[in-house]
Amino acid sequence: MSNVKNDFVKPILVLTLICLFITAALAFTNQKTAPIIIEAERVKAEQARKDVLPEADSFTLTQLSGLPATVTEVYRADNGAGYVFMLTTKGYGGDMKLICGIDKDGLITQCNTLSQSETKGLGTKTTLPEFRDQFVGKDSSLSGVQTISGATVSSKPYINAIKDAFTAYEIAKGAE
Amino acid sequence: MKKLGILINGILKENPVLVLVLGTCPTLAISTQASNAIGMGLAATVVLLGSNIAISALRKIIPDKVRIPCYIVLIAGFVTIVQMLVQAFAPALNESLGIYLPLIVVNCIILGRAEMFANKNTVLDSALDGIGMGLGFTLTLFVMASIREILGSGTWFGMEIPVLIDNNISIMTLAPGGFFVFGCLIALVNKISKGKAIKKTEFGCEGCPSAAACGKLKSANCGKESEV
Amino acid sequence: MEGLIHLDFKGLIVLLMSAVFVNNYVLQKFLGICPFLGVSKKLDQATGMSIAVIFVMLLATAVTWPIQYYLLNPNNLGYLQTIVFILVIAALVQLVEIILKKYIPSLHSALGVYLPLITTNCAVLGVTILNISTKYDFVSSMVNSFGSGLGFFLAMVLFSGVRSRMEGGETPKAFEGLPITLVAASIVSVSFFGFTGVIENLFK
Repeated sequence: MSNVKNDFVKPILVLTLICLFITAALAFTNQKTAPIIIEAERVKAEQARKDVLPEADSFTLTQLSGLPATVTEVYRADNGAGYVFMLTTKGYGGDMKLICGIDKDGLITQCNTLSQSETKGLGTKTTLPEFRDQFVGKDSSLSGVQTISGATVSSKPYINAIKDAFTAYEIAKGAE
Repeated sequence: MKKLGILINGILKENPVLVLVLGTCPTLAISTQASNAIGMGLAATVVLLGSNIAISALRKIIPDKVRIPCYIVLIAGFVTIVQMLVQAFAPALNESLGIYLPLIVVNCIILGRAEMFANKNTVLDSALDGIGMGLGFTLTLFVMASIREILGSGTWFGMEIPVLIDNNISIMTLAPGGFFVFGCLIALVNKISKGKAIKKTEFGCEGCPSAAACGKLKSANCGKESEV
Repeated sequence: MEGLIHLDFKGLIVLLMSAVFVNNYVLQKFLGICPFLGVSKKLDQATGMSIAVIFVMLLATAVTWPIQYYLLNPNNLGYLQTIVFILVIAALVQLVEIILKKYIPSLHSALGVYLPLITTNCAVLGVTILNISTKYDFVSSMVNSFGSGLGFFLAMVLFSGVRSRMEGGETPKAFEGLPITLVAASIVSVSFFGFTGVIENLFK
């Protein structure tokens, strides 16, 4: 009888107790940290949108149909300053996530890279001010915007994604 | 004095990365930036400290048969807690560590120390061992990351270094650079200690958590560990 | 399921190919380094280990994906992911070993020795977590796991070839053993850069 107890009951009991205890500890930590995590993410996303459209006060997510595949989300500035577009496109090393702000006159206020996995030293040049600042103040023709020599496979989809943002901009304007 | 020995042991004589060759995956993956290395090292140290204390405190209660699952649950618990704390209070670090943060669970250093040290020693000794090993891990990561960041990006902790910033060797921050620097560091340790420090010139299972199951692996690489 | 990445047939092939060549788990993402360095000395062992890894990766994904989406997410228990996944993988490996031992002893004698090592192989836990965090749907997840396993296989087999050539060469004393192996791995890893950008543009 004591053998059965030692061989089966004790291991199962101990393992179960440890599992229960750890789960309880996790639940407790989660309860404490979850609101902080959500708040931090919200603040960060809000800041990223403010960075590309500084004139806006706050943003509302707008639901639109017929958007180009690269445009994942469209945010409208509540004070009518313009729109912010979240873009996802394929670069050289994988997905590039971009954010682009277009003001009420249809001119780019700023665009930024949120995440990318391009080759260091080449494709990563798309994140530098030298590249992204050339979009500032441009309209949908994007005239004068140059790809980066040696990193065309990264910079071309970038430019195309910005063009898609303008398509989405027209759709958003039409829906207003 | 003996206590101090346990603490220092992990940093020098039994450095988990360079001497025991455990936890290679995060060492190679995270060591592209000095700041990431410190973050990763500290996260692992906290987990190691917690799991070592918990396991040595429970060492008389946990039946031998289910000890590995028990250790895994305890370690996974600590890892998840650390993960949530990092997410909440250092979201930038969470982003750069990515998948490697939850993967601390399968970091051989932690399960290895549980098997080799914590289940045989007192709580205090285990805690010291955890800190020592954790610091050894952090220190090695830091050295490796510094080399890779300085040569590869021309920066250190994000600060630009004149001359090097314009002459960076980008491949150092990429995967091949990781393997290369790691190989050179181990060779350096070999050289300095005249081959004494490296317990295994071949990659074996010493301290590998699966060593118990490895008894069967005589035919493969773990012949040395057959006494299980 | 909302917000999951759903791929058509062409997309799946691109995913498979990039998992094998571009995002190679061992050589680019540094997952599963321990078996890569430990068991790649001989070709037959490298093959056995890799097949066991592919098998466990597929099985683990097939089990953990539904657990995440039908059990954890609906109950807001996403934070238990790590602990649940590692336990599931550990239990799965044990189960597979027992079943193989009982019903297919020949396969067990070939793969059995590698199975226990896989529990703590970070590539397996890594692929299951990455499938969830990149939001692949079930089919894409399975394809990604298969591709990652194949990539592991490719790296192991290639590298065992490199290592068998290295045995005959003379190396400086300090570099003998692990260091020279790592330097060789670095060069093999460079060769995989050749695939970056090729795969995705191949199917355009």
